[in-house]
Amino acid sequence: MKTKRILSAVLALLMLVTMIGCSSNKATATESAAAAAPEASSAPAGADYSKQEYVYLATVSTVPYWVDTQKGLEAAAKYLGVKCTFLGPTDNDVTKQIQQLDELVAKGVSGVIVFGADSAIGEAINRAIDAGVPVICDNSDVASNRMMFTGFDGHAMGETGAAVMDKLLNGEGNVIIGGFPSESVLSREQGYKDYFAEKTKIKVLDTINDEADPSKAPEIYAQALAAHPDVNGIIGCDGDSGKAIAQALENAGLQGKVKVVSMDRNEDMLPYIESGTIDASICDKAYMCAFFGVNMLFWYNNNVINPIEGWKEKGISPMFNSVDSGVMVVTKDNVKDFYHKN
Amino acid sequence: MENKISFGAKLKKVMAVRELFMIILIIIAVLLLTIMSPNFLTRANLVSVLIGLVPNGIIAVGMVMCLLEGSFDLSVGGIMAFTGTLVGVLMLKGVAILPAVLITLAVGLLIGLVNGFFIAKVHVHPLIVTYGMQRITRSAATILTGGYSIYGFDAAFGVMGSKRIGPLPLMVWFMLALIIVFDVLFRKTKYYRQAYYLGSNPNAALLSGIKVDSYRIQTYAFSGLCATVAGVVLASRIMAGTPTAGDGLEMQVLAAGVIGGCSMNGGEGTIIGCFLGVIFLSLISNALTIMSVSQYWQGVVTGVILIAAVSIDMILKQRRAQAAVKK
Amino acid sequence: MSELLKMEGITKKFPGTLALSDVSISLNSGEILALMGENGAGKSTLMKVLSGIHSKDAGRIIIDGNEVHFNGPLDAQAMGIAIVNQELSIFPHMSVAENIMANRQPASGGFIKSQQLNAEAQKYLDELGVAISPRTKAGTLSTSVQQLVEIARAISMNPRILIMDEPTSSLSDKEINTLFTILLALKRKGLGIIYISHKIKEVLTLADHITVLRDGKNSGELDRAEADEHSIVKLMVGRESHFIFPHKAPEGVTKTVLSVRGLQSGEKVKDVSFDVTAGKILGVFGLMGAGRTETARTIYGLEGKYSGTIEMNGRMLNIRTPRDAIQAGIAYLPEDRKLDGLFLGMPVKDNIVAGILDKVAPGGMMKESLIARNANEMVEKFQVKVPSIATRVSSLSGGNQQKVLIAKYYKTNPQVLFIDEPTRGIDVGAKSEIHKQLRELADSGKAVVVISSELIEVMGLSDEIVVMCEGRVTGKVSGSDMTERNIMTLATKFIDSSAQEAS
Repeated sequence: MKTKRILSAVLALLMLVTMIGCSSNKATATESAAAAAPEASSAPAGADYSKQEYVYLATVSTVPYWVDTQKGLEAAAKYLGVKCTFLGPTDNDVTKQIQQLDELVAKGVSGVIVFGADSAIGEAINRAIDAGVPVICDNSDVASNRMMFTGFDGHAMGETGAAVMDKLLNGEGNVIIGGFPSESVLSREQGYKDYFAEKTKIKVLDTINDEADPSKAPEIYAQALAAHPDVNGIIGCDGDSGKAIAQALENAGLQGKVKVVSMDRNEDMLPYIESGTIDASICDKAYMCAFFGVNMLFWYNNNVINPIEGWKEKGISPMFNSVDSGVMVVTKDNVKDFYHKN
Repeated sequence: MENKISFGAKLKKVMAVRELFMIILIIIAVLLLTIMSPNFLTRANLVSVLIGLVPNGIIAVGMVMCLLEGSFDLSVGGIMAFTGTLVGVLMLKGVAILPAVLITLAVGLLIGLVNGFFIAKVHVHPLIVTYGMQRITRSAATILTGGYSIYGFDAAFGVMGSKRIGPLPLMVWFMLALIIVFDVLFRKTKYYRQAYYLGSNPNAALLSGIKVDSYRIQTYAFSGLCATVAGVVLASRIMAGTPTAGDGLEMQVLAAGVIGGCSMNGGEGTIIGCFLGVIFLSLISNALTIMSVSQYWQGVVTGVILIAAVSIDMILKQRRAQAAVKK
Repeated sequence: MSELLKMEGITKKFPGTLALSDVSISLNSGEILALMGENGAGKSTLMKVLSGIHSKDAGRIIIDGNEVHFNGPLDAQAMGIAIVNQELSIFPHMSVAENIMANRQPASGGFIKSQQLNAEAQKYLDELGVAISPRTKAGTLSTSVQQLVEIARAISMNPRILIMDEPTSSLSDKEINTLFTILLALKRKGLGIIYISHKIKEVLTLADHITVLRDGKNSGELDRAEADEHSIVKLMVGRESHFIFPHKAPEGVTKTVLSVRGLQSGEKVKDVSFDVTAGKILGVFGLMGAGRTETARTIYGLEGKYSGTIEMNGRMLNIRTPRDAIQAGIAYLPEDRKLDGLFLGMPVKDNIVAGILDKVAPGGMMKESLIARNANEMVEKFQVKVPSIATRVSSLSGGNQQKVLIAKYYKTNPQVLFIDEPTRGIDVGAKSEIHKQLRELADSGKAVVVISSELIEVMGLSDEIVVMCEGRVTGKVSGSDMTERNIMTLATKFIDSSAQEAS
């Protein structure tokens, strides 16, 4: 028994060391991207880009919000002839997102769009860039050397929504704000709070955590409703908030009596906008952000743009720093167009 | 008289040792992965995998001690998140690195002691105590930072991740050292052997003079301490205090322990075995990433492999037991 | 020889019972004291007080003339008291050496010195004549070897007082002899040994003094010179007692109901043939390892494949699982009733109807009234002493537990009832009652097969005895052939030759 244990321990160690020792120092992403890219200053039609892989790295990756993002990725893949992948941990644990980013860099992907849910990933983004993998931040920005930011400022998004609620309530009343403790969501909540405080007489009674979990959120909102019978409006700051709020209101028979402003355009939430239980939803342009992002990374990699000779080697980036995607406001009037049926 | 043992019988004996079974599993996994993706057997990828499993490896040491006694600690993920955040908060408030780390270690030890007290003295079931503590510590982490990750630490703190010895950063060597040292201690020292005695027959352990209650408290303190070390190392690596870190980590390490040979009833298992389990599970996760498997399938793949791997071993175990009974 | 130990006026209460009331014993060094009594008499409790496991409510413990107080088992161990409990406290995952030297492993700087550990353990194993490696995992050993390992552990603590609680329950005769040799050697060294046993023959061989307890009180003491079976039993049950067995089967009972020919299964059952007659009690006798239990288990479908034939009422049976056996009308009461037969955590009534759930649950729903009716009927019939049928079986004495088990199988209305060691660990009074019940079962037309290793019991109870040795039936005796000598000859027929085969 004892010898077997020592043997197995030695074997394990040998295995690890051998694997690392013999492993090839694979070409870095820059080299592979360059190898695939032609010398010419424009991407020649008919060239084969299928080996390039662009990854969108999200968190809470299985919620319906990401459907639009993935559609955008698919369209970009088709348009450019590259491979697009959607990845990310299923919870909002940024350490897992960091780990995956490192693994993607080690794999040598051509570019990554990072959903910047938590600024802790900043260092990892810099590591990726140092290794030659260009990175774009989408939806929420992270302080780093990232090439570009696409999306809408969370705080400003909150302000937009607050303005809508302001109109609905005529400037005064009680509201509850729901979301979950991820940096991007928190900044939206803050946007709402700041707008209400500065520009209206609306009082925020409570901020609650709906855990972004469609199975638990309805009960959480129902309890909040019961605790605050004097509430006039409810705001949902993450994609799963809207439906949960609507369900809670309908169960309590309060639909129409309490105003609702929610987030995103999840398919199963749209019927509630149609029926009027939800008054408006602030959604971003996730499809376009993804599509746009992949194209930007592609342009960066494949010598499509050439404003200055040798800009890459000289470290002069011609790419935009920050792209404001704007938001779309979904209301009863236009909700029919937002269904994905096609 | 037959003196030679057939190769089949020898093979069966080898397979009986769970650690060797794990190594074979890992070798198979590595071979499969190498075939399926050219990016697997690269230095960068393997280093990345090793770095990623450091928190699991450190926590495994404490978790094995609990498992040996027929118990478990579900609070380790929460403790890791809380202490990882705490050390950051302390440093941002101006406390120097070393005292901040020491204070954090003390806090983690204390949390473990609280766990141990409720389990051993008040006799509340470990499931309740450690799950409750998990909720408490996770929330506490969020309270500490207001939900955000905190960063901006002195660069010297990042030594675990930044300093490299050979191809690997310090944190990996640190974890390996812990694993090896404690594996030896658990096999060879009176103090740690008590965990095996306790798990094998708690009544007899009591009668043999082992201070069962006190030892259990020490076990949970140790587990809490390991989780704290993991938290500090992680914070050092990502140079941030993340309140959401380690979600679901306790179940992963628990599964790694069981797959690596620990019985949930206690009395068996080794640290090396659990560590091999950690490696195996990390390989699965890595495979999903580099093969770009859809996130939706992550759970299915991991779950199926886990059940299959342990089932194979249990079936082999039953066959062996039947063969022995026939005598 | 000096007075080593004196326990004076020991009283111990448990919630609901007064376990010990003013009990006193005295032990000299270099002496073996046997502690006897029926189940529940308080022997184990008294020894647990002595070994520090239980605290006492009143009384004094005096060692070498000094009064001592124990706060726990470690205090008692420190005073040189070692106990081998009736319930084994083995660490199944640890090696034999780690069991023997539990928490006392030789170590330096905290690191265990394994070579020394194994060498020391080997020493004690050799002394006890146990031929296994100290590195063996204890869980893989048979119960009898485990018991020897526990004895080794006690001896390794170099005690001054050694307490043994039913130490021979799982040992073979050879092992028992070895144990006695060791105990006598320890006695010569000056140890005081307290030996709890209900096996009267053993006690008469070994003990210098005998103290008998009854119902938690002292019942009497005997010196070796004045002790014999009758005087001991008298002290234990309080009346002149001959072991009176019930009547034998009347003449003319000849219907063969079960017929076994050439049964072979695994390694333990090599060639077994016998007939079982309805209305009679068939005894199956043999030494340890003869294969009696394995035979019964094979017939009951617990051992898987077998070759040979089993016929019931002329019809050939193919038994693959216990369900097949039950459906054919065979019942088997196992040796270890606690482990294999009873649902300890459940009440008496649920245990009794466990085999006839269909009958007490018409349409799938359990009917309390039916269950209660059946349970009460059985409690009455078999004279089970319980406060109520809702009492948990775990709180019953061994004898009453056995009665509950018999009742359970009785209810399934079998044609043949195999019962393995029916009165093991049961006090004298209850033994008689169980013998009576078994005879009643036979009288009611059932065929009863009693497997027992107590020769007197088997001879007194059975109409015929089948003797087995090394997996084979060596002979059948009845009537005037049923003598101790004949049976022992048949039981040892293959012993010498099998010893030769093994080398």
